[in-house]
Amino acid sequence: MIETIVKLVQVAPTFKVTENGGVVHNYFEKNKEAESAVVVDCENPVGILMRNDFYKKIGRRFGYDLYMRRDISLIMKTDILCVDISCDMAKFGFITMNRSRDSIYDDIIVLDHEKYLGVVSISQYLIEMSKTKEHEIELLNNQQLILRQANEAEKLHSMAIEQKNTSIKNLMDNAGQGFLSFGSDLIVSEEHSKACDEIFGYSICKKSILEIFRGSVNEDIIHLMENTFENVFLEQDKKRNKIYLSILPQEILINNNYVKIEYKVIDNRSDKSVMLILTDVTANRALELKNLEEKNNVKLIIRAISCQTEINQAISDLRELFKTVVPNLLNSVIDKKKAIYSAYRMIHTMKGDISLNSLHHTSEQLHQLEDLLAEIVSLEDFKQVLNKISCDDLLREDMKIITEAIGSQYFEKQDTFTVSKKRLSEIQGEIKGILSGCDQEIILRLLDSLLYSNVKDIIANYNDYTREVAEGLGKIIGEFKITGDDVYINREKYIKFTKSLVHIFRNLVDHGIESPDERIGLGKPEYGEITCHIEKYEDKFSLNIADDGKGIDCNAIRKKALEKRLFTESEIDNLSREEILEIIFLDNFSTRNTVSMLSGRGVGLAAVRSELDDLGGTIKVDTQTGKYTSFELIVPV
Amino acid sequence: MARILIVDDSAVSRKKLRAVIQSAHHEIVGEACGGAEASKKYEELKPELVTMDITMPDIDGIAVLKKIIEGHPDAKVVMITALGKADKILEALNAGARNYITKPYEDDQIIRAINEALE
Repeated sequence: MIETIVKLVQVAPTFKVTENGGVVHNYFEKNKEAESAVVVDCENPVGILMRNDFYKKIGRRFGYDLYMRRDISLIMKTDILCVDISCDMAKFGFITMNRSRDSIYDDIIVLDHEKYLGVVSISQYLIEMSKTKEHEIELLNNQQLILRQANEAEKLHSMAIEQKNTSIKNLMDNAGQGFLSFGSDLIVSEEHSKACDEIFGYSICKKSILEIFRGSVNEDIIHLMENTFENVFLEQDKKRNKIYLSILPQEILINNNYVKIEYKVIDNRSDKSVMLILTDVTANRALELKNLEEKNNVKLIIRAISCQTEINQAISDLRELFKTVVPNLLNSVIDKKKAIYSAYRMIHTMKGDISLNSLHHTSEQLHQLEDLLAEIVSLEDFKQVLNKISCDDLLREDMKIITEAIGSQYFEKQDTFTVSKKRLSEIQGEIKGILSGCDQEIILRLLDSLLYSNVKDIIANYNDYTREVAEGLGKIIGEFKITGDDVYINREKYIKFTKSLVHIFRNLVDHGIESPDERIGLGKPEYGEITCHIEKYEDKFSLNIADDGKGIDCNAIRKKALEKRLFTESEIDNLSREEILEIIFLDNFSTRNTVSMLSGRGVGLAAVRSELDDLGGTIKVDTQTGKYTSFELIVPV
Repeated sequence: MARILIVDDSAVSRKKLRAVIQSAHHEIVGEACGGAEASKKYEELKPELVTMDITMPDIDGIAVLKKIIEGHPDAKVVMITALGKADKILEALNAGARNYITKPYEDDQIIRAINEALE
């Protein structure tokens, strides 16, 4: 708001031009503080009388006589300055200061709409002006102080920001990750971490993000990036931005390094940018690949151990396919297109078979071959590619792995092969190092199964031996009848037990089975029969081995026990039938008087019981004279 | 719980989607095995969300999406497409699709995409 002179206006008396000097003198005498008097003519100011000037003139020689009784028009100053009340302070100052030197300090007459209102004293004006100035200066000083303080705060603030930026940059540079950002112009800003330049191999500062990626991805992806970023900068919704960015490639091969890329939208009200976080995952990738390779190799070895026939079949099928089947097909007269398609399908099927057999290197090469063949349309080109295929090359790596793990005889001998226990435990150790959890458990169990045998197979092994024993005694027995469940036991752990079974078979042949003549006379078949039945329970299995012979003579046992002084007569009398039958398992008991090659050493059945005791198992015998003897073995697993 | 329409030309895919979506406690109000049927069923059933296969023999899923969005700008459509078809996804998003799922998909990926689109 412009300040006017209104507050400086003082009331000054007016005197008509026709008044004499005496009147003015009286006025000045009476009003000591009055400095001026205005002279009017018909209410219009025409002159002014300043106290100093008035008395200067009166005080001159003849001045008193000259002016005191005459019109004041003679003594008044006529070069008056009139201003309107609306005049502002600045303009007022300008006007007054431009007056002639002798009137410069005269009061200024103020009019309101042409009519006299009062006067403004210059001294009052100056005082007022200096007051205003003083205030302004004070304000100015305050402002300057505030400014200075603000400046300092600003300096501190930018220092702090700079420090923060530096520490963030340090953090970014040392994180080893690439951080970069760009706005809607897609130009990478200066604030990016050192790792970015290392990843791309040059300074990416101020370059377009599309240009930076152009060397690493194809034009379609560049186009996709361009469109996606454009959408991100237009889109307000944060969730949708995330969806847009999720379309972009999450990993790119840059200068032979695998780089993981995360995209983030930085939205600061005023400016939006996209930040990319780049992480070199090449090392992780290599490790992953190495782990995968090792896992696959282990799988291959296990497959080789457990399915030798299948692996050899697959290998021979593969050789056959490339050597004859496919060439014959391609050389046949059928439709060329059909021939190519059939050959392609055969190779595809072969790949499936090869990979089922865990020959993963071969399978991978077949996969690449398939990719290559898929692009080919001409029969000649197709043949040319296939002519170059060497099955030895395809199989080399996988065969090498099998040979190294198992031995070169693997591919020569069919059906059976030998793996040393040491090698097996080495393989198990390797598996524990590579696989974990469920995978490890399954595969170790599979390998373990190599150490396990079916109880039926163990028993069948005694077939030949028992027959020989029988023949030696002039008896004939048929093939064991083995029935019941398949129970697998660790051969190593149960070896002593399974070996002790020989005593049972020997016992049955020696004591149970009658001679063929006897049997015929009894109306039994000439061939003695031994039956074995296995039943599986939760934590044990039962093995029943029985003959169809003459049974056990309890009186003979009694007699023998007394002879051997294993019991006193009164003790024997108190034993039940079952208890008497149990005597046959006692050490030093043998019902035969002579020690034959087979039985009679008093160790036979006792040895079986002893082995079963060690395993926590039991043995019982049941018999019926003339009909059978049956051993029931309970074996914990 | 939302009312959902499944659009896919593969019966196996529809079965899989149905099982997964129902396991997340949404209701399947209908299935369409082609683009033309999809438009019809959308008008008829007014589902809260549509899962839309992009590649279909009669009418392309994006064309169906555009038609639905034209009549119902607030329609929630989640696109389903094979991996590596980013350009198609972008086209669909620009046409107003709410989200997308890439095949082969994991169960939780389907549920997440649908729930995000429903939010």
